[in-house]
Amino acid sequence: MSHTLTEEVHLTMPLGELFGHMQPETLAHLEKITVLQRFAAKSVLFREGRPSTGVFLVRSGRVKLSLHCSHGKSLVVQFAGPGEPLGLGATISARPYEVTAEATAPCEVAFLPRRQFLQFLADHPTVSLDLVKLLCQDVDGAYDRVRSLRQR
Amino acid sequence: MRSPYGLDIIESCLTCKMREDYLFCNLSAPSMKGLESIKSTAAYPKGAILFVEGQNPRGIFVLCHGRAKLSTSSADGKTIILKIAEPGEILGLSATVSGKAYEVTAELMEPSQANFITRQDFLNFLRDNGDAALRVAEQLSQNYHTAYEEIRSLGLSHSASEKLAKLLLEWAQDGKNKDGKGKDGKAKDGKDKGEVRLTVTLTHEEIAQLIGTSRETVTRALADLKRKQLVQVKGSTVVIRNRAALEKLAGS
Repeated sequence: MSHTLTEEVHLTMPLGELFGHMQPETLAHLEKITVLQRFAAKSVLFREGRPSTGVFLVRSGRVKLSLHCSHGKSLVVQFAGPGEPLGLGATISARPYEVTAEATAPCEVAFLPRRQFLQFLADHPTVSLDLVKLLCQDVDGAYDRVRSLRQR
Repeated sequence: MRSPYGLDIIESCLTCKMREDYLFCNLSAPSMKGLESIKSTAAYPKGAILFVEGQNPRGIFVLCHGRAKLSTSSADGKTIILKIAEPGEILGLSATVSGKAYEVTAELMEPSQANFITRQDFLNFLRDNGDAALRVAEQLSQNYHTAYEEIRSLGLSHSASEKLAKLLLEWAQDGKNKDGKGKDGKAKDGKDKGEVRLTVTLTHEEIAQLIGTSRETVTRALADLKRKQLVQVKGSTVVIRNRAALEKLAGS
């Protein structure tokens, strides 16, 4: 179950550090579009194959990322912790989520709704390079995984 | 311009006819000008190596023509082809952005043209041109997606025949998406329903590296598909004769 908090959210860590050195007004814009959510252990943040609704930035807790292989077997690809943005690639390219994200411990998550996030990127082009850097890390991780699976 | 290998050299990105079809290249006018001023164009023969795994990143290559094999070597020294890059793709992107060593080796599979941009120029370019950075982000999302598709199919231990069937179906699908151009590994629709014609220029060894098996196993699996009359092979042409049965074998 998720609880959307309506009160104003002040995000210092990790949102402020997500995109390198942000100008105060850029950070303010990002804070304005952020929705703070809490997830209990074993609840699902998003599911593989469902249309992407936005980026989930983990603030505390632990999230398990898994996917279903061709014949229904489930494979854990990664455990994510504080500071990690989830669903970034899917959100930017308007694709379904690649994986299922499930909280393994109670989590606090900053949610950035898709449309507002894309508008934010358009309004602050300087953060795009940092976004590219974040995506590079994701891609590297995925290919490392491919490598290790191929070697089995 | 006449050139060796019959390559049609694209001198300027501004007048490139393929621009709109390529994810990265379709940029706003100011970005396009910026790109034009920092890229250097070169033609390469088949087999040329753009960069080697483990090398410090010099910059990116935008592939204009031709295809490149992106491979890595596994701990036991085997070559694994991670991907075959198509025109319009940026090669060496992740390493160039992060500053870490190139993760793969990029070898051209045919005479090709590529535009090179040095690391510093490229980073400055992305910093100054938000739209280009977003394009790059989109390509990265695409790469990410491809990697996950791969993980999905690798997570389950398929037989070599299953994996080969899957690969052939993927090629057939790719060809359809690109209007059956009938290029390498691309499909042309046959007259009969369910029959797809592919031109495959990859060797059995290369196919083995793509699906993570041995050359012998590929030869055997292909012979098996022929015997079952699912495919017909004549030189570099592979005809998928019974698509439904092939799909059943691939488990899709």
